[in-house]
Amino acid sequence: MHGNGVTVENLRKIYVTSEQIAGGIHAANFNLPEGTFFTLLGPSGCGKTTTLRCIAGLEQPDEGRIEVGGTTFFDADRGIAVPLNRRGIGMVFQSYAIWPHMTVFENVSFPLRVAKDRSYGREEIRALSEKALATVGLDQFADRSATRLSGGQQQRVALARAIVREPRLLLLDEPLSNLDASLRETMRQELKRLQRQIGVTTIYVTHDQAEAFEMSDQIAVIDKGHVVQIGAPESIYFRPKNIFVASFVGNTNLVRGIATGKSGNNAATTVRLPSGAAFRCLTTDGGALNGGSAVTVSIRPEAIAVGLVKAGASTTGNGLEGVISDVAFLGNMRRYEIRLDQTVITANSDPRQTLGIGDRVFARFDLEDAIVLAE
Amino acid sequence: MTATSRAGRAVLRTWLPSGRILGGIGGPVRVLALVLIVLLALLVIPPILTLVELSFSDIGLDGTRSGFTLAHYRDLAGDTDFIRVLFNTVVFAASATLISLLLGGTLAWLVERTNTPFKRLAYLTAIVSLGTPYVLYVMSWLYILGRAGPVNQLYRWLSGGSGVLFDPYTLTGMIVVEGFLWSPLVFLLMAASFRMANAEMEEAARMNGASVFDTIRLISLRLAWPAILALAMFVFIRNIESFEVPALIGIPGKVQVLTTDIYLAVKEFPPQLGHAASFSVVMLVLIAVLIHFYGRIARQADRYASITGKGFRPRPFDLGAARPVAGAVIVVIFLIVLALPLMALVWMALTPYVAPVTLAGMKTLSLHNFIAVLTAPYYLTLAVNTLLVSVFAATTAMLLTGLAGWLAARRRFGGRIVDQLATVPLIFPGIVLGVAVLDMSLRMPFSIYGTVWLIGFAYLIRYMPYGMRYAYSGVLQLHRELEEASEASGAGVLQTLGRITAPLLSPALMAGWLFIFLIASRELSIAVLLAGPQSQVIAVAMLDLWQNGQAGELSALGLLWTVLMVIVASIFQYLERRGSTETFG
Repeated sequence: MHGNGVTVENLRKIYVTSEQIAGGIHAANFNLPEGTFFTLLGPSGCGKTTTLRCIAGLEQPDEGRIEVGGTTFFDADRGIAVPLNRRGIGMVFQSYAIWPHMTVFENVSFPLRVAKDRSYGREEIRALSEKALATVGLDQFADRSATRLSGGQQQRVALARAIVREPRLLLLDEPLSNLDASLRETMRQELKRLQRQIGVTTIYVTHDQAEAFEMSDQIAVIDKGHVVQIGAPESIYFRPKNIFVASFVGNTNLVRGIATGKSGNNAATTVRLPSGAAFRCLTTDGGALNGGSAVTVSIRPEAIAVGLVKAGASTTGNGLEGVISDVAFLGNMRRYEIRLDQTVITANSDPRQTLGIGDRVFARFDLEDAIVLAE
Repeated sequence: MTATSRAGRAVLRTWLPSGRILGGIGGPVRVLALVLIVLLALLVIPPILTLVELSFSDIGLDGTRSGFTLAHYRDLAGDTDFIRVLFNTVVFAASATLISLLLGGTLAWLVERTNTPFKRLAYLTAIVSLGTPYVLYVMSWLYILGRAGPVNQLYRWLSGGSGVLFDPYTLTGMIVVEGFLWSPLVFLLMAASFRMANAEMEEAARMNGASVFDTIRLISLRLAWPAILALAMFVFIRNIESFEVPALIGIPGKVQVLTTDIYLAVKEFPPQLGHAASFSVVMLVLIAVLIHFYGRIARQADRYASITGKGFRPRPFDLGAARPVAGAVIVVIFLIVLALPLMALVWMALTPYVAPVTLAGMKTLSLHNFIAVLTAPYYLTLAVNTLLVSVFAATTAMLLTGLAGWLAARRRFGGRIVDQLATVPLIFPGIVLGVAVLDMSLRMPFSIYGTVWLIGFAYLIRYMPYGMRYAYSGVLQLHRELEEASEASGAGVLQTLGRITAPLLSPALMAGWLFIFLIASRELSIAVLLAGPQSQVIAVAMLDLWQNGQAGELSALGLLWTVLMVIVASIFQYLERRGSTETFG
């Protein structure tokens, strides 16, 4: 690993109560090149924050290895654990953790004032802190008391404090979750712009898929302590590996059927519903199938085009026939509930299209929008 | 995070020798914790061991101990007096608790949940009472209710006879005065829980069709019940430990309770140390059992309290036509609990000897007593001694419990042990601790008996649990990410403690300091056995003055001292209202 990349190998940290496992992370593995914006995405309690805290040094992993920029921070086998205050990592906490007894400037300059690896002169501290404050757009606020800041400003102070030492790694623990919705949108873009500007490798924890998609280069989806898929936002969304990823990341239709023939990884196959209707879909990597096995197929609502079936005319293309059971107009789209023989699927369609309940329709989708999922 | 990592701990253990541990878990914190454990253990364990040992020792007339004996306990079991004393104690404590709960509880409900007038008067009453030494208070009540006092004077004038309506030197007298004594504190504590209670619960009941009466019966009282019960238990325990009222009223009235029995046994010549020790052990066990139950009730109360919304001002209940009645209740309680005793004190301070309130008496009024108090060096020494021991106890207690509270609240190494050690002294009634510390001091190789430091150390031991409460809840209110952010910024554990935790915790520590200072500066029962001629503190001196019949100078001294303490109490109350509202003393 060159530059300030991150390697995490076999990271394990399990919490147990007297009887059962109460959360944590099992065997996390990832490799991040320098400058990556990496997101740990998952529902609350899935172990994403535990992973982040292990990297920060706030928790002691049970097993595994953590390396940042060529320095081993933690290695269970070799008995290495660098104390958190010597890791040189910048971190933004969920609560921001702005110290209320200090001014903005004192908060931001704190990491320089307590630095162990080198001592900073008074002028240097001032210059670096002002630079960090300018980066987050708070240069006018240096002398303000930390208690007199809005939520968004506190967030910026926390960020300035995290980057003031020019850390090799920036950790962000759900930093936007305490902001109101509109501010959250703005801060997302700003955070991404900032990260690109500084070029620091960043690990971001969130349960909000929209945040993850908008900001990340790479996303790791975590479920019940297991990293289930790592990839670029597009591949997570369009090529989910299992039911959890498909349904956690956006809305999707899950259609159950039987594979008609044998197929390899990333290959087209045909799935037949109990009614006999069949459609074409794609397997994932590592998703080879035997003929006759039961499968679940994910089809995103917006990938489905709905067309009226005229009596006598035959339908063309890949898709399924059904009857509209419900319609809702949502402004930017019209949502149809379409009853197949046993399941109901949802399709998001053109808002100007006016089909009604009871209309017989053909739900058409492309081969690569129907993904066979692992259970 | 309540779960602990079992495997993580195993790994950690194997790493200990190499010394490369996470900053937060090992190193300096571990050393500090170990030092603290040793210090706390040295403070709280010896008094218990001393008492137990003493209660099993065969003590000769000259004070020499020769071997083991069960005689003291055997005497106790065969003693009908013991049963009577125990009975008196329970009746006294329970009845007084009832009175203070009724007075304080009514007042708290009126002030916090209704639109009654004179709300400020209720707080004034409570704060001034908080600063008044109990001895002084009891004394003024004895004057008001006593043979020559205005109540019986009025009775004689009305009836034309020469008898008395009420003799305060009885169990009833003790109960009434003790009940008055505790009602201001009950008011403050109940007001806090009424203030935090969530009115939405009551509004929801009303919305669902319940009448006002049903709402109070089925919702308000049910929700408040665990808190009321916990408070009752707390006051009951404090009443069992009470010394001022039993000493000033019970001893002359020949009504003995456990605390005065122990006191008299030590004061007797030769001292009945074995008897005092076995009584003390009985009290320790009794209090420990009660505190155990108190803890269980209080935990339940907390569960109910945690339902409440925060930063929410309940809508006051409109009393309508009953408003003047509520106002009258507040004024009457103000008169009884504060105005009358203070007026009695002023009268006594201005008259040369205890005299009935008469026109003739007016002619003898003078500032003579005040001048005597302000000019005699003896009184200055008293004030200095008292301030010295109180400041010492409060400062040391907060320093120790500041760290102990942090270790316990953050579940650091040794946290649980220091928590338990620092709360042990809760089981010590003041007089019992006095016996233990007295005996320890006499067996020390160096001479400490008769110095103010002995009293200071006894106070420190007794008040540590209070400090712990303030420190612990103070730390809990600090988001742990504030500390984590500091360590992630590169600061070490000690740096974090010094630059982040300590400054942020200081308001809580300050409030705890003031609380300890206030109760220490009026403490009688711990000091009464420890104060020597050169180490008098004000409460003990007041008791002496009372017993010598110098009521005039005592009143003058008391009034001046009260003014000083009320100023401190106001600062305390201001901090308290700004900060958290839970803490039952």
